[in-house]
Amino acid sequence: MKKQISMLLLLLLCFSTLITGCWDHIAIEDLALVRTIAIDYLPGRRAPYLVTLAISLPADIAGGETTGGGGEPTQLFSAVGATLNLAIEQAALNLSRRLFLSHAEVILIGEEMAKHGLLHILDFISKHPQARFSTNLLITKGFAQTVMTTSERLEVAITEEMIGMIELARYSPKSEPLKAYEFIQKMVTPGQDAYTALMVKSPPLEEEIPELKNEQKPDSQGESSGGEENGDSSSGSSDSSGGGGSKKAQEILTLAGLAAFQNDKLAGFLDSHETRGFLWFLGRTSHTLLAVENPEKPGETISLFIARVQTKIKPHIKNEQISFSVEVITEGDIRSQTGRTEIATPEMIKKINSAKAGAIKQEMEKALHKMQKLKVDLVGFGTILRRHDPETFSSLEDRWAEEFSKLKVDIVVTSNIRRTGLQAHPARPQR
Amino acid sequence: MLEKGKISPRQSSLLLIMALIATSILLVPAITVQQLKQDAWLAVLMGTLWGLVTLYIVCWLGSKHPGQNIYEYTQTLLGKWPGKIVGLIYAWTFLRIVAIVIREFGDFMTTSFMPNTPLSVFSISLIFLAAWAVLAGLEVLARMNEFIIILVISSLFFILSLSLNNWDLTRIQPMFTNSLLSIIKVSFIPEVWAADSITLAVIIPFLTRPRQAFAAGTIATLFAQGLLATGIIAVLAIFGPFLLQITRFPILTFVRAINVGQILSRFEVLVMVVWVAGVFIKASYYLYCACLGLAQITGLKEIRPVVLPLGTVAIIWSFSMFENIGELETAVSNPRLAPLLQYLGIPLFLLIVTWLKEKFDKNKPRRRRNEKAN
Amino acid sequence: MTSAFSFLKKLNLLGKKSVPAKNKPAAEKKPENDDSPILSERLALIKKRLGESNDVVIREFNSSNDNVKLALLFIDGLVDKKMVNDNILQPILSNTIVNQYTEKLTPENALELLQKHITSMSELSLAPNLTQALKRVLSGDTAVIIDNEQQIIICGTRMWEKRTVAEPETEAAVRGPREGFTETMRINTSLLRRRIKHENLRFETMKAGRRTATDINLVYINDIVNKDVLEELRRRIAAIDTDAILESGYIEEFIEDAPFSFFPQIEHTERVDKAAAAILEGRILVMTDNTPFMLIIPTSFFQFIQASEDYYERPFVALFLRVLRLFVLNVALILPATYVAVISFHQEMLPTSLLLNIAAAREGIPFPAVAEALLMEGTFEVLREAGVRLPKTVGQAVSIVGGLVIGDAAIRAGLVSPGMVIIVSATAISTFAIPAFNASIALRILRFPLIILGSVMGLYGVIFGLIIILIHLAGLQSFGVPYLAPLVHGTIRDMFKSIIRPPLWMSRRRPDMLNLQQQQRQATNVGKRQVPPDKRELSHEKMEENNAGKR
Repeated sequence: MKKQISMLLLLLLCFSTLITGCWDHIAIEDLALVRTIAIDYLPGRRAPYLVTLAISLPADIAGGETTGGGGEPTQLFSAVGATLNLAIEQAALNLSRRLFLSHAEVILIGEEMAKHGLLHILDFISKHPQARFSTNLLITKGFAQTVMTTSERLEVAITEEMIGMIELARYSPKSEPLKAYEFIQKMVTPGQDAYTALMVKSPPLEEEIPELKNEQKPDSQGESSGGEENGDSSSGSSDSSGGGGSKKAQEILTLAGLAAFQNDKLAGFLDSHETRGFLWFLGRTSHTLLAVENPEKPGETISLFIARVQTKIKPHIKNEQISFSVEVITEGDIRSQTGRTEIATPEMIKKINSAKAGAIKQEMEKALHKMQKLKVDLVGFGTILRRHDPETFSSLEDRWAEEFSKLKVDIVVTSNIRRTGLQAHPARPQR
Repeated sequence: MLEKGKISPRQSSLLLIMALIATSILLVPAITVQQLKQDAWLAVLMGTLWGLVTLYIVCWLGSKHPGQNIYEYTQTLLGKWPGKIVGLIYAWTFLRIVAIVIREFGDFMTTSFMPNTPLSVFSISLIFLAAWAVLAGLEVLARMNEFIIILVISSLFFILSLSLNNWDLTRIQPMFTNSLLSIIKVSFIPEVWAADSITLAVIIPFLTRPRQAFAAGTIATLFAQGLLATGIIAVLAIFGPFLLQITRFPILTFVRAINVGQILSRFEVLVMVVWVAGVFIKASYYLYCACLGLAQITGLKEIRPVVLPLGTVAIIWSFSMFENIGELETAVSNPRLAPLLQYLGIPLFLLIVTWLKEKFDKNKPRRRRNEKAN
Repeated sequence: MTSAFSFLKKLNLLGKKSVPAKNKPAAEKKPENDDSPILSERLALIKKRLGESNDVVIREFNSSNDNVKLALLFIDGLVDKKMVNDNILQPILSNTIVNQYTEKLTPENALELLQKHITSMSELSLAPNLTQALKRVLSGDTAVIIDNEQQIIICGTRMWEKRTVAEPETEAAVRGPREGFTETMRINTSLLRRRIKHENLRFETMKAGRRTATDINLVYINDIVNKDVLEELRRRIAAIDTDAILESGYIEEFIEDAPFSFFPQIEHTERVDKAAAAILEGRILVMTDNTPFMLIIPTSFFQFIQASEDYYERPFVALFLRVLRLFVLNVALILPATYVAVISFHQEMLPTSLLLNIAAAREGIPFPAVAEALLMEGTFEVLREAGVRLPKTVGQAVSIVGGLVIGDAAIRAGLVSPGMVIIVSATAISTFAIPAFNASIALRILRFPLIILGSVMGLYGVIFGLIIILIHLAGLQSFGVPYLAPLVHGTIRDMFKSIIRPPLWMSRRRPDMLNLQQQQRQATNVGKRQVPPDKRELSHEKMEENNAGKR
């Protein structure tokens, strides 16, 4: 009994010492919730890091309790500093609440910053106890801060808008946003270069298609989406243009293309077309539409849906000459055609298959060419070689970038079209 | 005898599992991957082998000196004072492990969860719990462990199962790139080496069936090291060796990176829970071994008077042992001579002494030993 | 000098009194010496000892042949007066019924004749002296005192107003017998006998309480029960030295292993079926007179999440309910503490939108989360307590008002946040879902220190608290059975059974942790109800066939 009582007393003593503490206690309502961090680099300054924080405010302040989960308005705060931590601390001076970075799901990195190198940012993310290791890294063209000021379209907060796009990017091969740890992983792995998605502000549709400006009719967008199925439009803004219905011409956010890095520095950009070409190497291109020219009737376009993709990359070493063979097997069906040709015949499908394989191969070669030009091994050929033959690779490791730019890659594409849609034949007037 | 309670071989086995995985599951992946890259798990398997060797020696010694633990039979074998010194070495070793464990724990908590909280809060509160548990006795400790180990193992499996769709086993290729020598060298790091089986030398007399000690210990070692190897393979398959090299607590890093359907994200606190529970058991277990040792060497009638002093020593030691986390990591991640002696050298020496004594005078020592045991 | 001597003597006496067990028989001896067989002296002594209580009835009379002087002694209200009249008084007084014996009555043969021939009682015994007789009389028997006879005839005439067997209110069940124990020991024993008609069912009587002289029955099955536990239980009950045992809770406190624990170490039940099941499982039932609550010994913690209904419903239902209760147990203990810890320390755990909502709701709340939690939990406890003590109709009103007050008005007034109300009510409902009240109240108390720990150290504090609780629980034992058994220190089979209720035909063994004399509950090969389809004796096809044959 004495033992238990003395234990209790000791416990009380412990409590009392603990209660004086509360070191890490922050009340939830005193948090400034950072959702997005935009980081820019201002070369030539003593405090080169420009940090812009998008802070979500609890719904109650703006909307009252009835709005509930829906909308939180975002406020932007900026500051500069010699390091990221200093800049963030500087930004916190403008706030009445404690900064909280754990919910920063997106980090936007300006072009200048990316060219300067990401080492500091990655170090910040991996060391800061609040930072998320699974933050999405996005590169912007130009300043990252300007992207933040873009007005939102479907979501209320800009961060939600970006996260929604990132989620969608999983299903479409327009881009490939990476999380911080994935980026670091690619960066530190020898024989592999890092990349991540590009967030750009694309000019409004009206500027690209001048006719629209004159008409100012919302109906005209239907026509434009018809033309878009060519899939060759270089802007890559095809997805987002369909959704917008605003009257005023505005710049809109687009997640398309890739920023390729050599080590931690930006080496160049891949446009959305090249990005898909690159993603074929990873086998990540399912659920996409591919437009091929009708092999029988040039001028007509057939859009194909890719349901499944499988890619195998194998290294071959002959007489110290390294080459790779890439085998792509795709499966999918026909979605639509612009002409009236009967395409549901075995011969026709065979022809379309080979046309499709050709188109894919062309895309891939284009992407490979770009990568070799930039000397960035985004696919990780070096890693594949390392797994296959560690000794050969370790002898090449130091000059792998050079080696990669001269690498010979054989691409073999097999295409299988299984179905042609719900209707057996195209609907056409009987004349 | 100082300890009145008895524990079953299963309980001892579970205690050993906990002592083995509690700290190693967080630290060993980083340590081994830094030196061996994708072959890290081989070192763990190699470490299992050394662990089993220690275990075998310890159990053999235990069976030759029934009813006695290492603090007692060292005195019968080597004489009173040399035996006491050897016993003290072991008590000191166990206490040092307590100090290291609570230091690791405190550093982990302050770096990852509560950066503003002083280290001492964690050390003191943990030692407080451990001391309480030690006072409650080995039996209670074993029972608690039975309860906690369910939580720990199941949460580990939960984390592993969540990771399954992120696995890419090509990341552990190419295999066997490291030389055997370097693997052996890494396997002698105390954390990698399943050396916790040395504690069986202390608790064998308290088993309900001491004969099953070796079986229990083997199961424990194999299971714990298997789990550890699986864990290493898992983090390797998720992150690849190169990202792992730069992380400090890979399992934590993984949990920080994981995101299951936007709902289950950032549940790293689960790791903390596991870690706290595991470290508590490990610290209590080693503190118990140390306290029992000191009490037996000094000839006390009960364990109580030494618990709080030793706990306090462990706290102070844990503060003064390392200046910063860098020192801690270097100390933990390099093979050293002292553990080699403690876990292999001295037991082997005791084994030889026992063997020689048995061989050269058949009648005399046995009778004397029996007298002392009585 | 003499006064000093007497003072010393007194001191000595006082010293002796403080050793109660030895002193007790000595104290009883004294009046026994005054006991004389002369009737008038005896009656005077009785009056002296029982005082002028108006329920003590002494009826003096002579036998019909005037040879023998007799007296009846009983307590009014405890005896069946009709029985006394018809079966004792009538035969002795009248000479019509058993006249040849009544005629022969003389002081010498009175004892034998009365016993053997005259009184027509089913239950009859002899008391050697007045003290013994008084004890029996005070429990409702009738004493027949014969002049010049040392021994006293005791007739079993117990009959008093008793509550009828009613449905147990504290342990309601959807399915299962509706009978609960009552306050009367005899009814209770009959209820058990009716369920276990086995020769080895034992009711072992003990008494405790110097003044209340409460009957205690140990009920067990002789060839199953662990004899060590039984012996220990006897020892502990015999060691009880107190003046009063009014409820089984008194006994519980006297015999439990760790009296300073929050957790109940002895389960109690009002349900007859539950008691019978416990006895059949090899446990011992401690039956106390004047209370419907029976103690079950030994008890482990997991019994508190089991209900007797588990065994009446389908196994899967039982499994589901047990998992649910286990979950609810955790919720009741740690949910508020976890909530406080998460919203003041680990905000990164919450999904962003939830975090924003909680933050928005807490905007403008004057208290920190911990104060809010303690306030709400405290209010809830007050409400619950108020609801229990009030009459049923008023109780409902209180709960409605309280619900409105803490639910709605407090939120509107900006005193508490809606999130906290949800947490508190979830916790409250969880505590009600635990079958055992005494277990749930332990958790409810422990919730408060956990909330404080959670607010001081976050989840680390919560775990710290939980480990302390675990150290305590792991050290507890109930009559040699570890409290956390079978999860701890148990066989695999027991572990499974604590969560999964196996189909009855599969559970062949009693709990291993009890170390019983007979672990086997039923034969290994009988009772398997699963018959492979081709060996079914009665099948649809066969019935069709038979029907066709009939037509």
